[in-house]
Parts: sequence; structure tokens; C-alpha cells
Amino acid sequence: MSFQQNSRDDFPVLGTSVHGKPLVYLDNAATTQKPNVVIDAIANYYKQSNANVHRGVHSLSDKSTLALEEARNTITHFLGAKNQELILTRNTTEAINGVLYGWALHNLTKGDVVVTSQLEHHSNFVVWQQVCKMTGAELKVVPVNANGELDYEWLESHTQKVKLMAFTYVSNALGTVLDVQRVVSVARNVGARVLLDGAQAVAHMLVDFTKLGVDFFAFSGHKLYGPMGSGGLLVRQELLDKNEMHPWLFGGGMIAEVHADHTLFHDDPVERFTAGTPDVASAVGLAAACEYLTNIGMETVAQHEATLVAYALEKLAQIPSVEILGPLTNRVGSVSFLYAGVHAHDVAQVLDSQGIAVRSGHHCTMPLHLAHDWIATTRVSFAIYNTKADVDTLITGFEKVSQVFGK
Amino acid sequence: MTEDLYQEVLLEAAENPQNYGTLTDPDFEFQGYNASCGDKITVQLKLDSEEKVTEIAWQGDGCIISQAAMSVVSEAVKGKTLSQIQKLGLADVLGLLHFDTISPGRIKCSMLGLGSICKAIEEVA
Ligand SMILES: Cc1ncc(COP(=O)(O)O)c(C=O)c1O
Repeated sequence: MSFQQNSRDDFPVLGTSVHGKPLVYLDNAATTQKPNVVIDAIANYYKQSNANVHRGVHSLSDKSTLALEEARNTITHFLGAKNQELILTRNTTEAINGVLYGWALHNLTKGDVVVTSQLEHHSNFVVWQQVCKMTGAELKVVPVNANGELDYEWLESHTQKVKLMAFTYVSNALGTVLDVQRVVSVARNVGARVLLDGAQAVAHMLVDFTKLGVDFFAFSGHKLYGPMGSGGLLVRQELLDKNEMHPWLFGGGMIAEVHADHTLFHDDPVERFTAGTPDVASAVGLAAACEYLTNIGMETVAQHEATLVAYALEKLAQIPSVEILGPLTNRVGSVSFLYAGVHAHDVAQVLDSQGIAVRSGHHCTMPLHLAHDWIATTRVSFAIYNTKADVDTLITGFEKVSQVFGK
Repeated sequence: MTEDLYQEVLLEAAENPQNYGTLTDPDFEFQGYNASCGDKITVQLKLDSEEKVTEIAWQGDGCIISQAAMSVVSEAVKGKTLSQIQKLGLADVLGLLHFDTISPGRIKCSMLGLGSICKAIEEVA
């Protein structure tokens, strides 16, 4: 694939070495590396445009305001959303907490039901446990079958009093892809809102927020080749128009009028949900990442990664000590596995000694691990710059695991 | 680093853990937990009248580092008083394991055993 070699060269960190070995980075679900265009965009913003936004009449402030506006346009265009539907956050976790404070606390009461699943990242689980404690709502957890897929029939038969369904679009542990259409249609039938945790989707597939038809969509910019500390929450226009979604951070920037005894919030949702000075540089960096991906094309990205995942599944299946977890088809991004007789941390450490970065532990999905009695699992996850050669290095890397532990 | 980390001593300690099992009549028992990987350890202690550890037993699943560390720590605390145990730290555990150093990501693993014992002592003290 022609973009491949270029894309590797675009990421300076991929040229570094670990323990004297060339870095093979397979922990992309945790965070992706950043291309030069992103790093440069951030540096250039600080070199040429840095000023606070909206706060001055001076030209530099205008330039900065414009940079933020353009960045918001690029990011929302990339995700198939409208500019005003985006609330910039630091990451997915903050975005999901925004739904707690900005929506759930205003719309849930005792007896209401929130539905989430066993597959969720703690970010999309602990938040709902907490909101139920705060409001007296009840949390229902959709079980996951042996293949790592949601039990949709269970969901369809547990719809009474459901006000919110919060699911991950793509599982960070198993790569399972949610049937969004099915969830949305169940939700629409009972008038429930839908939140998608898009943290593991945005970097791997074309996302069209409007077409998905969900109410909330949370994502992390840093998992999308953008800077750390960038991310966002998309909120469907209708919820903003109806004032169903409330600001949850208060202070400068988000107000229309402040009086000694009361405050009117800004009419414009973008302003209303931007309290305090925004991280313009991160937004600019994230926009550069979106442009970078648009230039490659998300279909190309998806195809390339599907090839890698299929290749990894094929090769891993040939190692007798390895048990692959999750579905064998219709999966995206991550492949987790158990290595018989060797703890995931020990597998990861031996791979690290060969320059191979993988994730070990429960990947912030303890409910899933507990349900399956997995203490810890090892995960490899792919990005545009990974190659089949990376998978080959990984597979060879297991020889040393076997040597060290005799397993 | 890995060659050092997974030296014979360590593999041996993890393969044949000392004091693995349970006590019939412990004076206290507690669970340690490594939130980053879900590793769990249960430790039981028996004390004499001077609060010295006379017997210890532990059980749990975990990586080689946490298992080996718990094994050597369980030997080391025998005959010590609770306040002596509380003075032990990472350096002592690394010493027992014959490590010069450990990567930041594995500190939690090596301290799971001793850390849980110390927490439990704090709770009963
Ligand atoms: C599915 C999923 N949701 C949420 C998160 C949390 O993302 P962040 O740490 O950027 O808030 C992650 C990150 O690992 C994830 O994979």
C-alpha cells in the first residue's frame, strides 16, 4: 500500500529504539503516535497565533479565535457533525462525565433505568454507577456472550423505564463492533437517549455522527493521532435546541449576562459549553490529525487495519500457548489474548525487551475480565503505520517468552 | 533488563513459592489488590504475645514479579514485629529479589505483597 511507507516516516517516534531494538508500537488503543503535521501545527500555533480567544479586539486574538473556529470545523466535518454539536473536552472520560453532569442529573429520577454493558471501559461504566447513586436510577448491565458480543435480545427485553443506553462503539479489549442501528432502534421505541463511546472507533473507521443517529458521541483526540488532552463530546442538535443538555462548567466565556443575583448563559451552544480559556493548540493539533486522516482516506485506513487484524489473528492462532479472545470476525483495532501459564505482565515485559510495545492488564475493563475469570490479558492494537512485518516481529517475539518461562 | 528480571532466582521463587497456602487459625487476614492488572493476594498472619510474626500463609494469582516478591517477603517477615515490618520498603523487596532496579511499571507488582501486609497492619494498629 503506497501510503504505508510515507506514513511510517510521518511519525518521528517510530524511528526511535527501545532496549537497542527498533520500536514496534502495538499499543495504539491506549494512544496513537503523532505525525509531524500534528506536532508542527501545535508548534506553529504557539509561534504564530497564540492569544486568548474572543477576549480582545486585537489582531492576534482574532487570529487565535479563527484558528479555533477552523479547527472545530475540521474536527466536526471529519466526524460528520455540525460545528455547534461539538463540545471540546480533554478526552473521552471527560466527555462521558459531561453527559452525567450536563444531561443525566437533569433528566434522570428515581426509578429510571440506565443500560450499559459488560464490555464497557470503566469510563463508560463507573460514571453510570455513580449517576445511579446520585439520582436513584437503576443500572442494568447487558451481558456479553462467549464471542464478546452484546446480548441484543437481552437488551430488547429489558427496555422498561430505560432513559439512557450507553455503549461502546468498538470494544477496546476485544475489538467487538456494536450494532448501532439495532441499539438506536430499540432506544427510539422507548424514547431513550443513546450515548456511544467512540474512543476506539474514530481512528479506525469512517464515523458519521448524523447518520449514526445517536444522541451523544464521546471520543479522545489522542487516540486519533491528535495531541494528549484533546477530545470531545458530540451532542445532537435537537438536544441543544430543546435545552435538554445543560452546561456543567460555569464561569467565563459561557455567559450572556452576569448580575449580582443571577446569570444568563450564552445563547450560542458553542459558547455556552466552553467555560474558561479553551485549549486552542490541542484543537488545532487535533484538526491537523483529522486532515491527515482525510488525506489518506478512512476507507483506506479501515482496509489496511482489517488486513493487519486478520493477519494477526491467523498468526496468533498458530501459537499453541495463545488463546485469542473475542469475536473472530467483525472486529476492529485490538486483539487480546491469554498466554497459557504466563501472566500478561510477564508476556508484555519479555516482548518489551525486544522493542515490542503491547498492553497488559485488564485494559480498564474489569467487569468483562471478572465475568470471564481472566486475571489479566495481553492486547495488541493497530494503527495506520503498522505493518505485517510488525506482526511477524511480534510472533517471533513469543519465542523468547517461551524460552524464558518454558511454556 | 529482562534477562536480569527473569533470572533463575525469580523463576524459582515463583515456581516454588514459600508459605503458599492457608492457616487454620490466623490472627489476621487481608486481601491485597493491584488495580492495574487485577492481581489479588490473600495473606494470613499468626502473631505471638510480642506481636512477632510466627506464621504466615498467602494465596493468589499474579505475575511472576508479584508472586516471587510475595514469596520472599513472606520469608522475610517471619520473626519480625509489626513495627519492624512497617519499616520495610521497596529497596528491601528489591534486595530480597536480588534486583538492582525495577522499571516504574513493575513497582506495583513487586510491592503488592509487602504493601498489603503494611496496609493491614495500619488497619489493626
Ligand atoms: C472504549 C474506551 N472508552 C473510553 C476510554 C477512555 O479514554 P480517555 O482515557 O482518553 O478518556 C478508552 C481509553 O482507553 C477506551 O478505549
